[in-house]
This record gives sequence, C-alpha cells and structure tokens, in this order.
Amino acid sequence: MKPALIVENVYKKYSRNAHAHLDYGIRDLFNTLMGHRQRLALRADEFYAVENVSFQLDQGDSLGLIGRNGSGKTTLLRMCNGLIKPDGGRIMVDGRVQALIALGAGFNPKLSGRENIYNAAAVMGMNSRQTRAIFDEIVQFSELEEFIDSPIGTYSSGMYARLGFSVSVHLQPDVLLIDEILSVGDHAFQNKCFRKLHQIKKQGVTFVLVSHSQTHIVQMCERAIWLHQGRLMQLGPSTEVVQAYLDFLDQENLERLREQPDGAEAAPSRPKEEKRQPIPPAGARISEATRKAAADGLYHAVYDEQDRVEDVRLEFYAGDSPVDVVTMHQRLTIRYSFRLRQPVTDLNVSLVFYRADGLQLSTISTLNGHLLRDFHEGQIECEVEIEDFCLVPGTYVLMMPIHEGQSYLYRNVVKEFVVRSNGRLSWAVLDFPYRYRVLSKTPR
Amino acid sequence: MKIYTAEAEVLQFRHVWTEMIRGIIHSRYLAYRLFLKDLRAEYSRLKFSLVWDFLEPLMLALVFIALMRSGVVSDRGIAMPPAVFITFGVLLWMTFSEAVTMPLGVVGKSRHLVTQTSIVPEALILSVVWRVAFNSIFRIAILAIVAAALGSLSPVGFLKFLLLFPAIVLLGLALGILLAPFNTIYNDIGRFVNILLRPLMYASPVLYARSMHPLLDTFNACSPVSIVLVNLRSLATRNVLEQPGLLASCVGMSLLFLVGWFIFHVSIPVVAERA
Repeated sequence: MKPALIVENVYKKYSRNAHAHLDYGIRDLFNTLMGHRQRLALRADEFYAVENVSFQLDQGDSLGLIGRNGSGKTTLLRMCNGLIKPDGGRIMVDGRVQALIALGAGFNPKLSGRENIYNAAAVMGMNSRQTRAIFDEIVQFSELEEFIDSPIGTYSSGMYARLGFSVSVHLQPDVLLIDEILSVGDHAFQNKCFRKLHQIKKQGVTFVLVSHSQTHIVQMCERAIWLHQGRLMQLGPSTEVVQAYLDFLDQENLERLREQPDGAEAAPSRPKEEKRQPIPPAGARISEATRKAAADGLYHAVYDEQDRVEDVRLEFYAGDSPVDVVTMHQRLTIRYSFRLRQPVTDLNVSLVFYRADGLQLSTISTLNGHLLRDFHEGQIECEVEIEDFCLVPGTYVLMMPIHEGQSYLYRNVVKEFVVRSNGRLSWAVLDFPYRYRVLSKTPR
Repeated sequence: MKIYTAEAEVLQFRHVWTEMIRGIIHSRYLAYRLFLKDLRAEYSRLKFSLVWDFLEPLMLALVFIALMRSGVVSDRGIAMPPAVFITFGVLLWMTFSEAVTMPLGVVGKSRHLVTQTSIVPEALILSVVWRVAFNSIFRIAILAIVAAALGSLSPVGFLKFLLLFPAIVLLGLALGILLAPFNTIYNDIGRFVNILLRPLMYASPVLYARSMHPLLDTFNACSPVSIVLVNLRSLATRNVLEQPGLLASCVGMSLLFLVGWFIFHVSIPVVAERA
C-alpha cells in the first residue's frame, strides 16, 4: 500500500514565556530569511511540544492520537497539515489534506450559511462549479435547509458546529485530520458524524483522530499513538494503546493520592489482624482539588460542623487490606463509625458515590430496611459489603450524609478513591458483571 | 507529495518560485471569495453601502473645489486648477497608503484561516489587490469627474493614467507585504508605518508642487512614490510626464514587490504559529 503520511523524527518546540515566544518568532523569521535551518536545541523558557515522534500511515489507514491535555496531539496534527513548521525531522503527505482542527474555521458570522460554504470550499481549493456539485449534500447533512440563508451569527453553537463538520467532511480530502471535535451537537448528530466518518473510512480516506474518548479511538482507529509531554509512549493496535494509557492514568491517580498532606500511603499492604485496628478519620486523604470542588458545591450540600456528630471515620477494605485504590470488579467492604453528641430518634446514614466531576452514581442508604431508625446515642459502627464493585476506572468521591429525619447532622466528603482497570476494556460509568456466551458462529 | 521540514525554504529558490506562481494561479477564485467575504461582511449593516464609498472621495473633491473658489488655495507654480492638483494628490496618496497598510494587517485579520487551514499565502495577497482595486474605482471616477468639470482632463492622458495607475498600488503592496510577516509578530511595525505615512504625505508633492526646501526636493526627486504620483497627475491632466525617473521607479518597485512576495510566501508558516 502507498504511504499517505510519513512522520520522521519530528520535533516542535514552544516557549512558555509570551514575550520570549514573540522574540524567538522574530529571530526564527530572520533565520528563515537568511536560509538558516531552525535549531533544535532549546532556548531559555522553551520546551518540546513534540519530541522525536515517528510513524507512517498507508492509504486508508486510521490512527488515533491519545494523551493528556498539552501532550502535543494538536501540535502534531498542525504540522501534518503544514500549518506550522517542524523544528526537526520531516513530514511527508501525499494527497489533499483537510484538517478539522476547529469547526467552521474562517466562517464569518455576518454572512449566511450559503456564503460560508462557498468560502470554506474555496479555501480547500474548490471552485464555484465544484462547490455547487456538493452544496445540497452539505446542507442536507447539516440539517440546516431552513436556515442556510440566515447569517451564521444567528446560529446556535450546535448549528454552527454541524455546518462546520458537514462542510469539512464533504470536501473530499485524501487525508483527514480530526482534532477532538466530535463532541459537538446533540447525540443524534454525533451519531450521524460517526456514521459519516465510518463511511469516509470505507472510501479509503486516511485519517488521524485526536480524542480523549477511548471509545472513539477504539471504534474508529485500527492503530493508536499515546503521546505524553510530546513524546511517543506507545504505538500499536488501538485497544492495546488505549489500555496502556488508561493504566498510566490509574497509576498517576494513585501517585496523586499518595502525595496527600498526611503522607499516608494509599493501598498499603497491612496484615490481616490490623483490620481490627481503629478505622482512620474520614476525609484524611482528600486532595485540595476535591476539597475545593466540595466547597464549591460540586457534590451538593456540605455540612461539616461537628456539633452533633464527631469522630467520623471511614475506610475501604479490599479483601483484608485497607485501600484507596479499588480494582474494577473487586469485592469491597466499607467500614465507618461516628459518635453522636446527643441522642437522636430517626437516624439514617447514606453513602453517596460521585465521579470526581460531580456525576452522582449511586447511593447506599440505611433507609432501605430502616437499619438505624430507632433511638440512638453514643458510638455507631457499620460495615457495608459490595460484592462486585463495577465502576469503570477513574477517580471518585464518597459523600456521607448522616440525617436525623430530614435534617443533616453531617454531610461531607469522607473518601476520595481511584478505581483501576482489571484488564478489561470498559466504557461510560459502569461495567456490569456479566458472562458472555457465543451461542453459534455459523458461516453463511 | 508535500514535504514539511525544518529546512529554510529560501534555499530551495526554484521550488519556492514554482509554488508562488502555482499559488497565484490556483488561488484566484479563493482570493475573490475572501475579497467578497470581507466586503459583504462590511456592507452587511449598511443600507447605502456603495454610496459611502463614492461619497468619501466626492466630499474631499468638493471641499478642495470650495477652498479654491474662496481663494484659500492658490495656483502658484502649478499648471492646473489647484482643486484638481490637490484632489489628485490626496486620492492617489490614499490609494498608496491603503496598499501599504492593508497587507500589513492581512495575516492578523485572517488569523483563523492562517492558523487553522492550509491557505495559500498568495490568496491573501490577491484578496488585498482585489480590495484596493475595488476602492480605487470610486477614486478614479471622482478624479475623472473633477478634472473634466474644471476643464483639466486630457482624454488620451487619462487612458495612459489608467495604464500607469497599478504602479502606485504595486509600490504600496511591495512595502506592505515586505513588512507584513514582521508586523504579524510585533504590531509595532504597523503602528510605525501608520505614523510615518502622515508626515510623508506632507513631505511628498501631494498638496504642494514645490516644497521650497532643497532637502525635500531632493527626497521627492528620488522617492518612487513622489515620481509615480507626480507623473500620474500630469498624465491625466496634461498628457505629459513631468518628473524623470518613472521607468527606473517602476523597475525598482517591481523588483521590490517580487522580494516582498518571496519573503511573505516563505514567512507564513513561521509566523502562523505566532499569529
């Protein structure tokens, strides 16, 4: 197969300092005009946004680029499109390249959708006749027939993105570079975009997809590259690369938890008999970011006055060991205790699980079965067993509301924990425990 | 196959010129669309769009005619009515000034296109040419009307004026595109040029035929913009070339334009990341 995109030992450097960035720009411009090659060595305040990256794509190949923000994905994509020059190495592209770096690049909000389509097509090198030939298809795909003669400044952001995507994918590129733009529009349109990309893929268009979504990468791309701080960490089949990236994120979350203020080690391996040791105070290993998120109301109300409840303690146990890192589908035990400063008559305790970004996932409450409803005073200690902990890998937060009737006695983050992969690919929020049986595989 | 490297393109001289010429040929339609886009966006909130373009030079001409009639401006040392002299001078200077400043800001104005699409640099240059040419139509029409109304129009000379008119645009463009890449990184260049153009207008034979200062006369005798402006004015009104050095100026400005174009072409990928 003929190569469509060859990237050989490519480097790109940027400056962290805004003034230096411009000063270096003038120097680089003079160097270019004097015929000098760009120097690869870093100057003061500079860093490599892309460092020694190489790969090759044949015609019809699809490649996913994953990595954290600032890992060099967009910079690499821009160099492949010739928008910026590499500082080292070389990039060879065969065919017409279309980059979807920002949907609707060059659109003018004062002009109608119709005029902007013609302008965008002209930027791609199409003349008026060629644009007329695909115009109806673009409008039909964007579902904007009714508004195509309205100024696009009056469009909603979703309509704007739909038009931008529609124009870009209908311009018949040989190589399509897509930069994290598939989260636009409503779900129906997102699905439509994916169907279109699959169709383009079948037509033999080579494409590079930048995405933070492992689902997009695995579904759309045979191969993937994981970039970290500009360096190529892994190149290979997309499922393997995505898994390696997720493991890396798990490890990073784990290290973050280990660096919490009290210096407590996450997931220390302690002997079985230590299980009977006192439960550690709740909320001892909460990161500053989570404390701030809680204070900002991301996990709803916080009531942490210790006027009616004191000495709140909570710990997770996997098997016999206390843990801050839970492996997906592990058996998990949660033990908690607190002391009531005055007698209460209608006590209830909930354990509310949130994803770190504030998505509420599940609640375990003593309201089911009225476990603590009767009159209480003094020390309360409970244990909850979860047979199969099926949250997908990520960082989570546990809120613990303690009520007397409708009133809070206490409500605060009691635990921040990480779920890591057990090796199975998982998506969305939950990974159901399941058994899969293929009943027949009969050839036609 | 396109190859992007860290090598300076300047060294691949023949390849760059081939790309530049190819760029001009292939980006004609795109340049026209970019010109239309800017024009329509500018006119989108105007009810009498073209009227304003026509009114600006017309008002200037009427003011100078009124000043001439009231005797504020005299016809000392000039072979045409002072209103014709000044109107030609001011409107030609406006064209030159526009041809310098428009390319200076074209990369910044088209930032989204330059940073997010692989736009051909020549399309940006051609779109500026379209715009300057469009604005010039109104000025040329007013010049013809004023010269005819005050009995100073030479029909044959005016045809020659039309043929030579692109020279003043070319001169402005040459300076504009030469400085545009630097202005994209640091806007100080544009600020300085804008400040410089104002006193330069008074130093040039725009309002006065003779400066009465030998240093300025020497400057105007050597300045290509003065040479082209004086000859354009004398051609349109009297069908004569008044100041020597026109051919040398035209050759010089053509070479300057080619240098400016070359620099603009090879600089765009370097300045795009800082646009």
